[in-house]
Amino acid sequence: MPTFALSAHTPAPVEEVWKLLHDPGRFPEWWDGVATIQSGTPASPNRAEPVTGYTMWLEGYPEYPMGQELRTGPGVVTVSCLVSDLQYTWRLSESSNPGTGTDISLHVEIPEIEGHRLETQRTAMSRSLKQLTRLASAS
Amino acid sequence: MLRLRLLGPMAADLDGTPVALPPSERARALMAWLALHPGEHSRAEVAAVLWPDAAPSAARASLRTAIWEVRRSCGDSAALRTGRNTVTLGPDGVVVDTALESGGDADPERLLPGLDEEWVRRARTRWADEQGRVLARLADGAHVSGDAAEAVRLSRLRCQLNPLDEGAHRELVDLLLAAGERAQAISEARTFARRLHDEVGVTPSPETRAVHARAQTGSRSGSAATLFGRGRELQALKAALQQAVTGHGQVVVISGEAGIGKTTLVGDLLHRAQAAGARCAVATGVDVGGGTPFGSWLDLAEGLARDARRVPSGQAWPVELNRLSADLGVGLGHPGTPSSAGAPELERIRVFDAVLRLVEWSCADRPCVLVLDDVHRADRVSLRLTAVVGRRVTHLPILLVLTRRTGVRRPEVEALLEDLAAHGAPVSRFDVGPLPDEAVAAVSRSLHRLDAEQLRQVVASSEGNPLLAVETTRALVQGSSGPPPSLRAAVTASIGRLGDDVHTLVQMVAVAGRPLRASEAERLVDRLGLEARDLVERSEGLLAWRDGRLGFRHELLRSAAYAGLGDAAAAHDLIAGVLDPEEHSEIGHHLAAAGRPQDAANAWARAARGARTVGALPEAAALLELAVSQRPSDAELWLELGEVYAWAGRWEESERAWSQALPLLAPERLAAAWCRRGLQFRTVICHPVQALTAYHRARDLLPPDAHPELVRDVLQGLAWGDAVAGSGAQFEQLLEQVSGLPAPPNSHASADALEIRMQGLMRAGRFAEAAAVARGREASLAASRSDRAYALFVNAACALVCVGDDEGALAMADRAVDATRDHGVIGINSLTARAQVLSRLGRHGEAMDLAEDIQARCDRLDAPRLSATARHDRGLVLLRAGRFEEAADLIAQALDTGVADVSLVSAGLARSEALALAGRAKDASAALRHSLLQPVGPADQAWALVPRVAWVQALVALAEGQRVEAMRRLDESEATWRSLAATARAATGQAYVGSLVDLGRPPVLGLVEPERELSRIDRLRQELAPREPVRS
Repeated sequence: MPTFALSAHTPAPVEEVWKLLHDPGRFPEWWDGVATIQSGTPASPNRAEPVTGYTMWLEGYPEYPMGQELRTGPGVVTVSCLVSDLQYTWRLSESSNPGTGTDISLHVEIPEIEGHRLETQRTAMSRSLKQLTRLASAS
Repeated sequence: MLRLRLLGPMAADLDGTPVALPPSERARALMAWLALHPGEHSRAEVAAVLWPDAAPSAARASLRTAIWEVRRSCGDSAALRTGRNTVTLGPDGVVVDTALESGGDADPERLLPGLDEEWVRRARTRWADEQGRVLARLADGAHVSGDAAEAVRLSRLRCQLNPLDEGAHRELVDLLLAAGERAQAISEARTFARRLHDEVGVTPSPETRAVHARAQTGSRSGSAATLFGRGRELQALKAALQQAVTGHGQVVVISGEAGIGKTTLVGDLLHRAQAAGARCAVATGVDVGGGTPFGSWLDLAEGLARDARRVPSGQAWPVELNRLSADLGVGLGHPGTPSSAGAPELERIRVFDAVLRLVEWSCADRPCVLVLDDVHRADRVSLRLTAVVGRRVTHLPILLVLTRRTGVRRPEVEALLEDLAAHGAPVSRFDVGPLPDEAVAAVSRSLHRLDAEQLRQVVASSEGNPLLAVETTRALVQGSSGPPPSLRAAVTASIGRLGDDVHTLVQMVAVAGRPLRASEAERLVDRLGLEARDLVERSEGLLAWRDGRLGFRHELLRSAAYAGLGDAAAAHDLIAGVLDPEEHSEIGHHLAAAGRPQDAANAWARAARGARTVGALPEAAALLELAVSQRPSDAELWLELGEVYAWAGRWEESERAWSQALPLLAPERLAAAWCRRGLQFRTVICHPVQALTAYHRARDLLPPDAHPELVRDVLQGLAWGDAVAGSGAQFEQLLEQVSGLPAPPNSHASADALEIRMQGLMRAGRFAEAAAVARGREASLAASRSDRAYALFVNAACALVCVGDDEGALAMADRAVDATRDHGVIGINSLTARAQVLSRLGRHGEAMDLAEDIQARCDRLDAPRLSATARHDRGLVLLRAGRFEEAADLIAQALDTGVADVSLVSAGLARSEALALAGRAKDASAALRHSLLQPVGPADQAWALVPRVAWVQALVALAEGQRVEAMRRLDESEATWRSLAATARAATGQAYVGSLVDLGRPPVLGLVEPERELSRIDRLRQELAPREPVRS
C-alpha cells in the first residue's frame, strides 16, 4: 500500500492545532482542495471508538459528496475517506522544549488501486500542512 | 438516685433510703415498665402498654391514677417527672437492679413475679439471655482458675435460665466431665435428651450428641484443655478482643506452620468471646478447587445472622443477602427475591454492601468476632469482601481474625493485607511458633499417661508441633515401638485400628474435602447405613465437631487420610449425593472425580449461573471452563462462557468461545444464538453497529415457525439499533410489528420497547414526545423494575432538560430516585441525575449536599470506578456553585485514579476551567494542554470540544489579566457554538447535539448545549463590558 509521511513544526501551542484538526468545519481554511464541509451524524454510534461523520466536497466537484469519518485518539486524529479509502493520520505533540510550539506529523495511506495519486497527494498535503501551521500560528 | 430491684419482690430506695412502693399492682407495673424502658415516654404509649384492653381515654385516666399513686408513695417529684403528655421515671436517673444474688434461683419468672403481660415476658427473655452470658463468663473464669465445683454450679444456673439451650447444656456436660463427675454428666445428658423430646419433640443436634457420646466414653472436649504454652499469644488475642469490645475494631493475622495450633488458639479465643457475650462467626477454607464464590462469607454471614435481631421492614439490604442464601434474609425477617441489577458488577457491589450492612447490624447490639480460618484457602471474592469489611473495623466493635499457613503463597491474601495496611486498618500480626518442650509434654499428658521414655520420644519427634505431639502420643499408646515416620503413617495407623463403620465415615469425610454441615453429616451417616451414636468418639481423635460441623481435627489429618485412599471414585460419587444441593461447584468436582463428566458439567454450569448472580465473573468463567472441558460439544455452555467473558471485559476469550459455539449449533438454534449475541453487543459491550449486524443475521435465520418471543426479541433488537445508531426511520415501525406479535405479555419486553421509543425520539430531537412516553401509564408499570425505572425517568429528565423544562426534569429525577432508592448503584445513578439537575437549577446548596452524600455512599462500596466517578461529578457541581478550588481538586482526584467513568478531555477541560476561575492561570493552562493530548471520549463530540477549548482559553486569559485576548477567545467560542447550533437545529429541530442516547451519562455527561453555552458567553461579556458612567 503506497504511503508517505510528512512532519512540521509550528510555534503555535498544541491547543490551536488541536482545534483546527478537530473541527472539520474549518478544514476548507487549510486542507488543500476541500471546498465545503457539512456535518453528518452528530452522535457516535460506537462506545469504544469515538467517530464524527461529515460530508466533504472537493473544489471543482460540487456534485460529488464524499463521506468522511474523523476518529480521535490521544493526540491523534485519523481522517478516513469512505469513498476512496484514503486515510490521513495526524499526530500532535508538544515540542520537546515546552512552550516553543507543536510538532505535527502526518501519515497518509493510499489504497493500492489509487496508487497513482501518491505524488499529487504528497504535494497537496505538504501545502495543507504549511497552511495548517500558518493558520494555527495566527490563531 | 432512685434504685429499683425487680428480681423477686419489688423494692425501691432513694439515695439509700427505702421507699414505700404503691400498693396498687398497676402503679408498681408502671414503675417497672418505666425502669426497664429508660427515658421520656408519651403518656399515650405508656397507657396503651399497661392498659391494652381499655379505650384510650380510659387508659389515660388509669395512667393518671397510677401516677398519682406512685407520687403519693414515693414522694412528689423524686420518683416521677411528668409533663402534659409525657412521663419519666427518676428524673435524676434510675438504677435497675436485676442481678442474680449469690445462691439465688435462676428462674426468669422471678423477674416481676405475678405479672403476666407481653412486655414482662419479653423482659424475662432478655434478662435470661443477659444472665446466661454473665454466667457463662463466670463459669469459664472459675474453670480456668481451677474451681471446678463453682464452674459446674454456675453452668447449672445458666441451664436453669433456659432449659432448652443446647450450648449451655453442652458446656455443663463438659464441665462435669472436667470435674470428674462422669455419672452426673451421663445423667444430665439423659435428662436433657428427654426434655427436648417431651417439650419440643426433637432429638439433640449432632454436636450435642457428640458431647453425650463423650460423656458415655468419659473423654473430654479438647477445646479449652489442649491449649498449652500459648500464654503470650492468648494474651495478645485477649488484648485485641478487649479493644474490639470497646468499639475499636481490630484485625489480627495469625501465621504458623501446619499443625502448630492456630485453630486451637482461635478456638480458645472464640470460647472466651462467646462467654463474654460476643457474637462469633467462623469460616473455614475449602480444599476443593473452584469453591463456591462468597463461600467463606456465606459461612460468616450465616454465623452472624443465626441470632441477629430481626431487621425492621423498609430495609432492602436483608433481601439482597438472599443472593448468597435464601435463609439469610428469612432469618432477619426479610424473605424474598432480590431484583436484578442488570450487570454482574452491580450484583457484586450489592452483595458487598448487603454483607457490610449485616456486619454493622450484627455488632450494633453485641461485639462480633469474625474468623477466617485458613484464609489462604478462602475463595477469591470472599478475600476481596474481607478487605472491604476490614477497612471499616476501626470504629466498630469487631475483631477480625485471619489465620494462614506459613509458606503457602496466595497473592490474593497478600493483596488483602496490603489493602488493609494502605487503608490504615489496625492490623496486628503474630507468628505462632513451636511449643517449648514442657508444653509439648503437657499436650501429650493431657491425652494419655506415657512413661518417661515415651514422653521424651514425643517431645523429640514433634519438634514443638502439637499436632505431631498428639499423633505421636496416640501411636505410642497404641503400642508403636517408636514415633511414626510421618503424619501420614500415623494417620494410616490410626485408621487401620478403626472399626469398619468409623473407618468408612473417616474416609468419606476425607473425601468431602471440608467439614460437613450437620445436615450433610446426617445424610452421610444415613447413606452409609451407620448407627450415628459415638462414631466421632471412636475415630481415634481424627474427627471432631466444631462450630456445628463434622470434620477432621486438622486439615493435615484429612489430607493424610485422603492420600491413603486407593480408588476414591465411588466415595466421591457418594459424597456428591450428600452435600447440600446448593453446593454445585463442589458437587461438580466430586462428580468429575467419580467419572461422571456429563453430570459434573451440569453441576458446574449451575454453579456458574450462581456465580453470575452475585457478580463473581472470574469464578463463573472458571466454572464454565471446567464445564466445557467435560462437555466440549455443548454449544450452550460455550455461549454462556462467551457471555461471561464479555461481561468480564475479556473480548478475545469471548470471541473464542463464540467461534467454538457457532459450528456446534443446530440450524434451528442459530437465530436464537445470533439474537443472544446481538443482546450481548447491545448491553455489555455496547457496540450498536455490531449489535445490528447480529440482529440482522438473526432475522435472516429465523425459521418460519420461530417462537413469537424470539421474533419479538430480534425485532426489538433491530429497533434499538435503528433508534440509537441507524437511520432512526424504522424503529417505530419495528416496534409496531412487535406489538402485533402473538407473544405472551412480558413486562421486561414492554419496558424495553418503551425505552427504545424514548431513545429513538430523543435522537431525532423529539424531546417533548420522549418525555411524554415516561409520563404514560405504561411507563408507570414498567417502572416497577428498578433498572427500567432508572432508564425511563433519567432519560426523560434529560429530554426535559433539552426542552428547557428543568423543573420537570427535577420531577423526573425524583421519580427515578423514588423507584431505585433501595437498589444500590442504580439508586446512586438516580441521585446523581438529581444532583446535576439541582445544580442546573441553581439550587447549589442542595446539589452540593447530595453530591457529597453520593460520594460517601460510593466510598463505602468496593468500587473504585464508582468512587472516582462520584468525585468527578461532585467536582462539576462545585464548579457550578463557584467553589472552584475544591472543584479542581476533586476532578483531579478522579482523573488521577485512571478509572473514572468520564471523558478525559471533557473532565480535563472542566478542571482547567475551575483552575482558571480560581485565578490559577498557569495551572489552568498546563491542565488544558495536558487534557488535549488525552483520548477523546466516546461521549464527546470533537466539534463540540473545540468551542469549549476556546472558552477555557478565554478564562485563562482573564486570569492572566489579558482582557483583549479573553474577548477574542470568547468571540471564537461564540462563532463555533453558533455554527454548531445551526447544524444541530437542522439535524434535530432543537439546538442540542451530543450523546443523548445510551452514551455518556446524561444529564451529567454527554449533553452538548450550544444555546446554554452562548448564554454563558453573553453573561461573561456583560461582566467584562466597560460600565457606562452613572449620570446624576
